[in-house]
Amino acid sequence: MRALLYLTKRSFINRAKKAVRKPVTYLYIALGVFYVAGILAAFASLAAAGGIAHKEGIVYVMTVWLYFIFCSNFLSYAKLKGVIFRPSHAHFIFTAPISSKLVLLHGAILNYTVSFVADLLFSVAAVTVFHVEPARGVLLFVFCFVFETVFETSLMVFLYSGEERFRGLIRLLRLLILALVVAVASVAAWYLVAGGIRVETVLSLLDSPALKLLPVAGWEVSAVSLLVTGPDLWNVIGTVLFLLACTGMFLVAWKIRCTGAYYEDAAKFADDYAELRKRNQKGESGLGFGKKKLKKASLSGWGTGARAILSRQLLEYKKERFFIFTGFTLAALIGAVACIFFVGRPQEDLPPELVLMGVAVYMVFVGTGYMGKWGKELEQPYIYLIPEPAAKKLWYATCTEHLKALVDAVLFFVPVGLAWGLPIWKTGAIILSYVVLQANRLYIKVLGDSLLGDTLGTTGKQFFLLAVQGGILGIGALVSIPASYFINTNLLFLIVPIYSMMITVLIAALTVPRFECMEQWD
Amino acid sequence: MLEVQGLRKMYGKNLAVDQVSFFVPDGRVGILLGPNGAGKSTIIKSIAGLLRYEGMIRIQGIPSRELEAKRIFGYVPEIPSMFEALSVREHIQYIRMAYKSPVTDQEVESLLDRFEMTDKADKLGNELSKGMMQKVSILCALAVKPQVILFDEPMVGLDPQAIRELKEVILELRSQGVTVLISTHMLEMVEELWDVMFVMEKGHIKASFRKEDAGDRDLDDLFFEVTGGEKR
Repeated sequence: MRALLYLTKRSFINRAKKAVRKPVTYLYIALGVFYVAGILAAFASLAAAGGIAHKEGIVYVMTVWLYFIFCSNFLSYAKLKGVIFRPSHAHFIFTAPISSKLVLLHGAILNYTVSFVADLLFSVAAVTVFHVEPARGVLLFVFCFVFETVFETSLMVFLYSGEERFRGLIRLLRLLILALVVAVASVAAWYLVAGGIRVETVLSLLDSPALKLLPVAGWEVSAVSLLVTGPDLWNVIGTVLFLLACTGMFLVAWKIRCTGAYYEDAAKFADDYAELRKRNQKGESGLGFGKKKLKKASLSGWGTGARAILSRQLLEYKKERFFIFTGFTLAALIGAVACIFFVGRPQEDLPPELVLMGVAVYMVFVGTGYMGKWGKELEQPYIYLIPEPAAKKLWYATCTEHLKALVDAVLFFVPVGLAWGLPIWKTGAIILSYVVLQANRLYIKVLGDSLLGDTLGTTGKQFFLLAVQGGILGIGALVSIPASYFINTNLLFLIVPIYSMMITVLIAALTVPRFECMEQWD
Repeated sequence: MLEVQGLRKMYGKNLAVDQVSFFVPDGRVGILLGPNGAGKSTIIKSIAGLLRYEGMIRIQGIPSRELEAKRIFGYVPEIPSMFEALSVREHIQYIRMAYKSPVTDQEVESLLDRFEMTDKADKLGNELSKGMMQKVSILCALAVKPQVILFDEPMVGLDPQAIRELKEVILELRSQGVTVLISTHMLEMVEELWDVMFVMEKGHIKASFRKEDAGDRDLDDLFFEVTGGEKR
């Protein structure tokens, strides 16, 4: 235990020492404070708008949270993915003479932190927004944090211990959780069908004894209700059941034999998580653990020279499950359906073509930080080794990305354009602007990497990307919007594509000399 | 001593290691050889307690999962993973505390010096190169003052000076009665170290040799004799 405490203490001190030397830390702290204040303000305005800015309101909010967190935690613990270990744990902790229960409890520090922050936030909101007396607010925080932690860690130890004789029970519990989700959904559906989709119906659902008596999340809701609003029959029964559940689970965790059998899964998860973090830092997709399964594929007619880069990329995409189609493609399709069937053609005072151009620009800006395969591509030394001019290599290396952007744009803008009755040339101009601005994002990434190196870290580079792309879009808006407003709306569909192409060619020209070698990337 | 009996490990439906048994006595260096995918890493990870397995593994007669066994066991994995925010010296300090190791400050300094890490002792884990990480991994395993030590491809990433030092360390450990097991592909690197070798193929131990029985044949000869390859 002393060793684990030493490890935690030293890691914290070293990180803190490093952090205070970085100006960006203070920016993050300011953003964090701003964010918390924002959440509280949002709580307040939502509570006022929903008519729940009173004591019961915090019970409603915490009901939703407790059900969500209980079900998601249980399912992730049951799959042995609820505690985040790192590869260094597998190397230095799993092999050390430290009780595997202690290792587990130490590994779950992040989980306690999340509980601590969430409970603190709810308690502050209870006092400041929902008019709960301060003493009750403090009691709410202490009770929730202590008992939630006791129950959660005990459950975690039970599930991770993986004793053979409990395998059946754990499977049964997983089924029960699914049954719980189905039960909650059924109760909710019944209320909504009976009472209609209204705020009152939702509040009456959240107030129902059923949600206070479903195990274990419901029992904790009872305890929250008891602490905040005082006793009634249901919340007293639920609270007693919750305390019994906590005590029982604690005793089980205390007694159960844990041999460290979970180390195998935890080490595998640690590797997968490290890989996921690495991918996220590079701006690749944040979904999916483990190795991707690839199909078998072949390519006829390989290109030579710089074209070989394109051939290789196409072959890689052929091996992918969905070829060049990504989450963005799906989002484009869903967005198109939503715009056509749910949003509908905008009113006359807001021309639909302007709305669609705005959507295109917004999509470009939102997708700026997402690099997909492009981030990985830049790390391939083979690109730089091919004896061809840098401009040619840059073009062929980005071809598939342009194609992907074009496909996504066509899938979204063509059906929406047709449904909203836009002239074809305007839809074409929007698609062209979108594809060109997406290309710009790729070149800015190369430029940013080579100019900044490692001086600002990954986050700094992301800020650079957002700042440059945001600046370009902002200047574009400053030029095109007044022109379209004061002269002619059609001008916008001329100015934006031309401006986008000019700026993209300029950025590409700045990028080419930086594409000669990969020295800058590390 | 290190004792492996009837070790069997499956990954899903794939049988990685089947009924593997071997024994390395005190003060002996065992070498685990075999082509890629033979099951060496599975055995190593099973001994280190990182995998579930069937069979029995004992360290100095104690089941390897017991804390008492772990306390006298040092492990150098193939790919070292450092604590990002711990310095080299703090890594060693953590090991001393976790293992309640009797290693002295002087011995730690001497180890750092031997592996040319004294000037890097205050560097954090995420500031180290791969070779340096491998050195820290070795230093930590040695700081345990183990009775059984396990090296998985220990020479990978080390500079020539460190390789020479490591070989000397292994010979010193042997002379102190420590049991050493090394898994490696680099036959020439362990030529002068080995006492007993186990050749693995497709999850089984195909053959084992003791140095005194090998006669004039070197590791290459013995390995290719078993696996059917040709020495060049």
